Parts: sequence; structure tokens; C-alpha cells
Amino acid sequence: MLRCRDIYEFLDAYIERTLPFLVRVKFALHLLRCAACRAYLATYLKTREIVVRSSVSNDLGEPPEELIQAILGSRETMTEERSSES
Amino acid sequence: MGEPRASGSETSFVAALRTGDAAAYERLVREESPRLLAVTRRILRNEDDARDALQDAFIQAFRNISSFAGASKLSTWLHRIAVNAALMKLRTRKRQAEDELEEAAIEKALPTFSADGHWAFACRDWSKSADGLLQARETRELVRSALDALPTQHRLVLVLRDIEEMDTQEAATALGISETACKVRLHRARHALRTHLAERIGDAEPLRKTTR
Repeated sequence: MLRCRDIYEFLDAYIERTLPFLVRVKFALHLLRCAACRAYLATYLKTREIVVRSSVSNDLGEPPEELIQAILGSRETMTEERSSES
Repeated sequence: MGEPRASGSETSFVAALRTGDAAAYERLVREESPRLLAVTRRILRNEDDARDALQDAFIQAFRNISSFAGASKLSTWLHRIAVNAALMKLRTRKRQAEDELEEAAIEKALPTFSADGHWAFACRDWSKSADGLLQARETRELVRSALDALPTQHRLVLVLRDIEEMDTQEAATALGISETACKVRLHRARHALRTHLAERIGDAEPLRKTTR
């Protein structure tokens, strides 16, 4: 019989469906009768969803033009250095 | 991440880059910079460092475009370079001692259990109330502060695996750790992040009797 501590340890394997069949059945049976573990699983999944969705949509601020120009400038400098070396 | 092969149009674009075509380089920088800057921002959490890392990444790409074999998409190749440039920048500003302190600190954010294996706190299901957060502007700050509360090494594993969608082997290689260490850190980071989010969503989970 699995305990709540085991649910915590096996949670990722359960979500990724990599648990052996028997352990998966025991895991599911524990979830059926344990509201605390169901709550933990639901909030764990929600955490991952929130983090992925907010991170992907949040960090896409356009780079400033001066940064673009600095990058293009560094390439031109490299090209000139290579030309003078050869 | 997936490794689709470069398409025909990409092959000709890469050929233009290899010949030093300035217009091709400008197109590459303008098209890829927003996405790559987002990557370096997520890893470094500091705007100046993120911009420096982006510039370093493009310099690396310019230098090594001749060695790009086309086994992956150009965008995937650039993504790896940007991740490595950001990690390199992070390594220069952090010390080993700080990492060790942070390793110890994450324990406080992991779930605790009673002697009989039950949760040592009252687990509440706040997933439904969190649904509204996905639409709110405040979510950005909430997630940012929860991520910032993680020790750096754990945050990095989580960012590379769950947000940048690297597999365990890629993330472990980028971070210079074993795959086992990568899996352990990811497990702890995800659970600690859940704790930090639970605190910030405002649905406090009172402690029961704790044994560790």
C-alpha cells in the first residue's frame, strides 16, 4: 500500500506514465481515497501549466534597436579583423 | 527538443550566412533575437546580463556558422548557443559556495511528512482558483517571484526542461551535471515551485505535525 510520501516521490513518473503497471494501479487506488493527494496532484499540474504558459508569453519583449545594432556592429568588426589578418 | 532537419530554403539561407552576406546576417539577428533574448532573460534574470549573453551568442554563431552541419534546424542550433552563453555568464558571476548554500535552502520549500507517511500540511486544491490567474497580468510577476525564490541551480534545471523543452540529457550536458542529478533537481524544483506558488496565491497550507 502506498503512502502519501510515496505519492510525492512517484508523482513525476505517474504523470509521465513511466511507473510499472502494478505501482500505477496502487498509485491510482491511493488517489481515489486520499483527497489530500488529489489536491496535491491537481495543484502540482496547475503549477507546471501556469509556469510554462506565463513564461512563454511573458519574456518576448522586443530587443531594443541599439542591441540589434551592437550585435550587427560586432559582426562587422569581426569581418574587418579577419580581412586585415588575411 | 525536436531535431527536424534543415529545409531547402534554410539550406540556402545558411549558405548565404557562410559567404558573409550582411543582409542574411541582419535578417538572422532581427528574426531570432526576440526568442533568444527571452531565453537568456529566463536563465539570467538580469536584463544587462541577458543582453550581453545574446550578443555573445551571436558572436559565437558568426564564428562557427561554417561548422553548422545542418543536422538540426538553425533555430535549434542557435538556441543551444544562447543557452550556453547565458550559462557561461551565470557561472562567472556565481561562486560554488553560493550554490551549496542554495542547495540547503530548497529543503525548506519541499513538502514534509508525518511519521506515518501522510502530508504534514493541509493540502488544498487551489488549481481551480488559479485558472483565473492565467488570464491576469499579475501572473507574470507571481511566476517570476516564485521562480526567483528557487535556488539558481534548481531554477536552471526547471527552465531548461519545462520551459525551454530540453530533454534530460541536453539539460544535464548544458549544466555540466549528471542526468541523475538533473532529474533529482528537477523533481525538487517542481515541488518547491508549487510551494512558492501556493504561498503567493494566498491559499496558505497550515502545517500539521512535522517530523523533519
